[in-house]
Amino acid sequence: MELEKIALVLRSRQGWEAVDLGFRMAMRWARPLWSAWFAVFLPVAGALTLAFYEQPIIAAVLVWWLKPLYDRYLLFVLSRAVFGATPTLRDTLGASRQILASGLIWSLLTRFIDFSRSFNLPVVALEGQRGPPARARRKLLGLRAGGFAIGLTIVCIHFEWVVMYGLHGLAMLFETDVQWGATVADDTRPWWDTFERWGLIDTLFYFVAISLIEPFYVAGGFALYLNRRVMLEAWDIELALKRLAARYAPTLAMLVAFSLTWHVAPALAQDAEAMPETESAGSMRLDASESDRDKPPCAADDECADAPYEAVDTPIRREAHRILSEPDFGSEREVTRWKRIESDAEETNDNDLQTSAFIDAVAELFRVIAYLAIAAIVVALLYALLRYWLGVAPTIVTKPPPAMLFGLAIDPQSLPEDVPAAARAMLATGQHREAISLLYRGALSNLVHTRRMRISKGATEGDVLRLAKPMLGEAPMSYLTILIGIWTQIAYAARMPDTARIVELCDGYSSLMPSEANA
Amino acid sequence: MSDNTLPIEALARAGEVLQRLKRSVAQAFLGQDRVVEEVIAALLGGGHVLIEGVPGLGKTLLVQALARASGGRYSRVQFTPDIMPADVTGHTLYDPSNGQFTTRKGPVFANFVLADEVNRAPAKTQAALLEVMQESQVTLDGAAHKLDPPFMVLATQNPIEQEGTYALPEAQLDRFLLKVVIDYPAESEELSVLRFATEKRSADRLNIDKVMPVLNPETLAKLQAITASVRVDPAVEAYVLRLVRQTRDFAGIGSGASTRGAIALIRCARSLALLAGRDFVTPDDIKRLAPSALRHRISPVADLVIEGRTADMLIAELLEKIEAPRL
Repeated sequence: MELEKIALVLRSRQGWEAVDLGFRMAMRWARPLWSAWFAVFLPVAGALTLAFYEQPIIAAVLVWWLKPLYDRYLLFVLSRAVFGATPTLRDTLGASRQILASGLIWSLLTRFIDFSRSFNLPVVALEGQRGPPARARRKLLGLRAGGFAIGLTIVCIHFEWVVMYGLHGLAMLFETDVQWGATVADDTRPWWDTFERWGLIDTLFYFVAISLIEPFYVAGGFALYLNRRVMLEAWDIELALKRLAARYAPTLAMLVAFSLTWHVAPALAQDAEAMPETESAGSMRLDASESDRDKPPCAADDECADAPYEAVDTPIRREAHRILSEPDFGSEREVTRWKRIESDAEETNDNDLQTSAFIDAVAELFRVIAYLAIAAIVVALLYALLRYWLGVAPTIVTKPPPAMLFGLAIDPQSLPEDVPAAARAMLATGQHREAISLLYRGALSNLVHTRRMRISKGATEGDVLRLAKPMLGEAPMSYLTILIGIWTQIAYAARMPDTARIVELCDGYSSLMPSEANA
Repeated sequence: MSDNTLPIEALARAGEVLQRLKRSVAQAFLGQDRVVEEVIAALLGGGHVLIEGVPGLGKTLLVQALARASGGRYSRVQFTPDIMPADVTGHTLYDPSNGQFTTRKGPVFANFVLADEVNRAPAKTQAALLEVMQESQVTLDGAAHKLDPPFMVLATQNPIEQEGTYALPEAQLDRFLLKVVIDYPAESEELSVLRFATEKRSADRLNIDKVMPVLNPETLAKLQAITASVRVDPAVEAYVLRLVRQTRDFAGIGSGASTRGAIALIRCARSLALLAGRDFVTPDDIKRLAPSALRHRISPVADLVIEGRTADMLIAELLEKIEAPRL
């Protein structure tokens, strides 16, 4: 890393100011950034969409899951561009091996739900850290920037949905044939059957949304990361010194630099020895040489006092301990005295500690929730994949049609197999009303059980006709109108039709109301 | 239950005459079939109608056309804040030329009275009109004057201008058999109205020349008698009662419909059945007329009014919930 080549004005910024800088960076290097994005994203998204053409939500979920993959390319472009070496698309794609080598699998498996993903990504992808040092590093960096990183994630998620639903709204403006409200209202499928509801167009809109937002998200997180490094390691001061060195005589500059390096900028003192393997990250590393070599483990930075770097024994840490143990910094002595046990509790009653304990508890709670959510998503994904691979047809959970309607049994099991024949038999024995009742029940059963018409309890005979009209052809509709008209006359006018009319109804039943027609 | 069975010929003739009446009114009052049917239903039911609609939808034209097609006399009273009861009912005055009191009958002495913007009149005048509606007679200077049948008041009110109006109290609203809401017509209907009203016409006068008289007061009285004998099955009566009683218990309705509401519903349903050529009422007739018969007889609670829920919405909800007759 050559700080003097940095294209940014280095200074300590507030969190959102840093995010804003990131967005400006994304706009400044828009062309290489989006070129890299589309070069990686489009083939992956396209392949997944084709692979899961019948279940587009699976494609969308997989594309979402693979976000750390594309983010690394964006970060590569930004990390180079910031230091004045904007890579071409060929350079970016050519560096794929090194981009993907550093912990991608772990990012996808163990850390794929990370609310500070864009902020933490440089620790893994650029610094090449893994395991406990990476955790310690994330904790150290996140002390003052973690909240902004989470905020950035939440904001970007919302913007993704805003863009997605905005596109939906736009599509609805042009799609005059689709009755969106009716579709939603009539959809009896439960919410967990989102798999069936999610269409190809939803996936397409999601792809557009993340293509628009993701580069901003990564740039915002990267800017937060850079800002945190500036705060911790005084890059701005280092750069100022380097400029001074270039301006004044080499001797004087070296003297000043020497003096300030040890007394003014101790935050740079993270020891290179403490850093893990750096070669793997290769040229992606921001601080492969100078910064790390000079860095003490949070030396004089109060916020780093409890950082896990304490556990790392480094020459600089030993030196710091030696200096701190000198008389100028006071001395330690062992005192033994009696103390009430409650006093411990009083001490722990300190507000800060209480707050800290509360935050830890909340964090633990969220951790548990996050793990549960991950487990649920994995199970849902496996279920969907299993169903897809096994070719199980999606089951639409709907309320079963009623067995009784209008006080009449309309369950197909309650009806004879040959309804018209049974009605004719009733007619022969003089049971006219029963014969028509059977035909009416059969017609209702056909509508409700075969054609899945929903009839509310407040529906009248006229409502049944109105509801049936869009489902039936002209002939069945005409038959149903006559049948219901006759039934209504029997019911409300106590007027029985002549036998010939009922025979006509029996004859017309099988030809006009076949169970399979229009079903 | 009414068991009177109408002779088929009488039923057929009544249906035919009523269809002619409907078509005749529709010659001037284009579109709005529902409104025409409901007004005819109220006419056959021997009741009065409150018509609500924004200005310019043809309320006056409807009444004129109905009066002409029914062969009755028509009069109009424009209600204003300074109108007096005597301006509506009439008065007696001393005639110095012959030294006697002369009675001048007011505009209510007609078969069809259009009470335009009834809510602009003060309560005293409204009460006088509503008394006439109830009693079908006017008392002038101690002498009772019977009104010639048929007598029908069609009062209008504008739903958007409430300033300077005197809202009709619930007790008086209950006197109206139906409250008919005239909404904007469909586009095709509005185009027909536009052409009809502008073709070869320059004046603003309402054109009811095409409306031919198809009835006379005597025929109308007979039709009203036939309507009264249309059969109503006990199951349908029970349905009406369930509906009306439920308005009193339904959460969201402050005050429910009175028994007069149930009576109105059955009277108008009979008319509707006759209009459809039937001599029996079906639950569909009840369902079809329930909004017009009940909307002015129920009051949604304030919370629902604030939320924008109207009486019509509550009635629709009730109709959906209440089980229709099952036989």
